[in-house]
Amino acid sequence: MNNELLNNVLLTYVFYVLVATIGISLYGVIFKPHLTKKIISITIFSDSINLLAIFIGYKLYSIPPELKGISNINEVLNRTVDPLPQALVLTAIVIGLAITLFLIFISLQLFRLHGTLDLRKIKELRE
Amino acid sequence: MDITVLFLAIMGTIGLVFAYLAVTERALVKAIIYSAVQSMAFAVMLYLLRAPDIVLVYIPVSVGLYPAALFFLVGKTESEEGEP
Amino acid sequence: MNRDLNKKLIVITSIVVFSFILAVYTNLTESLGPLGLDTRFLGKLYVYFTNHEDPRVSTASLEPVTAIVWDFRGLDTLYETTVFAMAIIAIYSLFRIDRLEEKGSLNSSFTIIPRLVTKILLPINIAIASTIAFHGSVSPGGGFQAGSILAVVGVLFVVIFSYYALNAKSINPHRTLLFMSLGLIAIVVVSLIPLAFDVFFDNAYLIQNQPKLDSAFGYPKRVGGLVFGGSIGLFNIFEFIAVSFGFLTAFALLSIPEHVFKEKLRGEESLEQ
Repeated sequence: MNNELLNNVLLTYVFYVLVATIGISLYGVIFKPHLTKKIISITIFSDSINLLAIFIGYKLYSIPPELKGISNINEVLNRTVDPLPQALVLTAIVIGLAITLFLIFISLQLFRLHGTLDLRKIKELRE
Repeated sequence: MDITVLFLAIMGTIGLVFAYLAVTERALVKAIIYSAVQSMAFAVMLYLLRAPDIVLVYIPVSVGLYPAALFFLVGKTESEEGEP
Repeated sequence: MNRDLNKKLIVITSIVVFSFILAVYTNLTESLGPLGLDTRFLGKLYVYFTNHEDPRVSTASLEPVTAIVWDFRGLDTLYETTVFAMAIIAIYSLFRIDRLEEKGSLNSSFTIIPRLVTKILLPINIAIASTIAFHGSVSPGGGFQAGSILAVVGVLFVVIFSYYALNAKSINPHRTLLFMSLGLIAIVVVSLIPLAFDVFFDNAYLIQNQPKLDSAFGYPKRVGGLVFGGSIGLFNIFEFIAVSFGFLTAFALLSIPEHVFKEKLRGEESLEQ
């Protein structure tokens, strides 16, 4: 096996592992009836989607996008990773944190009103 | 074989195992800790993918603020999941 | 029971099919993904124009990611700050509490080791967060990173010493919301100063950072010999203030003990009957 084939196989493996993590967290969001477990699964879901976005912008044998102390800009241009997904993911992480904090506060209020956080029991109580 | 890609594969596997353990665990405190370990594995992966700005946001948010808020929630409400 | 099983089967099948299509598409095309040949052209353009020699087409920072977030795509970041502030305001209006009357015991329930370590770590953490906010244009850093680190400071303080200690230092949720609003107002003022320049003097555009081909307005590139980044440096400082005080509001509201809210709910129920 030469070098390039092994690199390609490992990178494809990492990609499939990320997609599998997305699948597991989606299963946790949809099929688990407890609200706290749903919130944990939502955090895992948003983390793995952000990681997938940055993984698409990576290339082998590269350097991070920094211009400090560089005299010749062509060497940075040829070997850098893509800086655009990093800027978008920065925005996405902060928005996800704010929305998840709001979800936590809403579930606290739900517990005070109904006494339980199991969605099936809340459905029975409201009928 | 590039050593970056080897470490990416190892950390990815660790992240997958701990994500599965976090979703299928019934005691909620253990589930939160498993999710924090999975976030650490993802933080190492983000460093290996040459994204230093993202690592500086990801580590305090995902290993500090999410488990803290979730521990507050679990302490004030139930701490065990019900029957499946 | 049959409908439940059918629904589960449909969801799992659609997840598997979607992930397979995504994997095949990303791996087969030559230009997408880490198995591709070259960096994308748009990324190269952004890196090329970050620190150009011609001052009319360059931003003033040495970091492409910070320049994209605050100069090339600055409107996205302004909208994202709006969404974040609206979430904090929704949290604040959900937990209505006027004033905490009782003064709980100010003795922390931890031994001396966590208390002393926290007292050493808090000033170090504040210094590190301020450093990361100020050098956002030179090294990886910026406003969001520093705001998250300062929020961890607030969480640590609330957990080790209780909410009553935070209240005794007169840091209640109303005051932190005021400081967050001041940070947001400062961001809006920095965006609108070019508009005032446009009304009174020469031509200028909204959220303008450096002088352009037909406009002569520009924020300072260097302050006292250090690279400052024009409006990027100012945005970083004010975003640091807004994000850190926003998170401090949320965690100060989260740590109020439960019996306060139970009495409030019981009071409201007896008022309705």
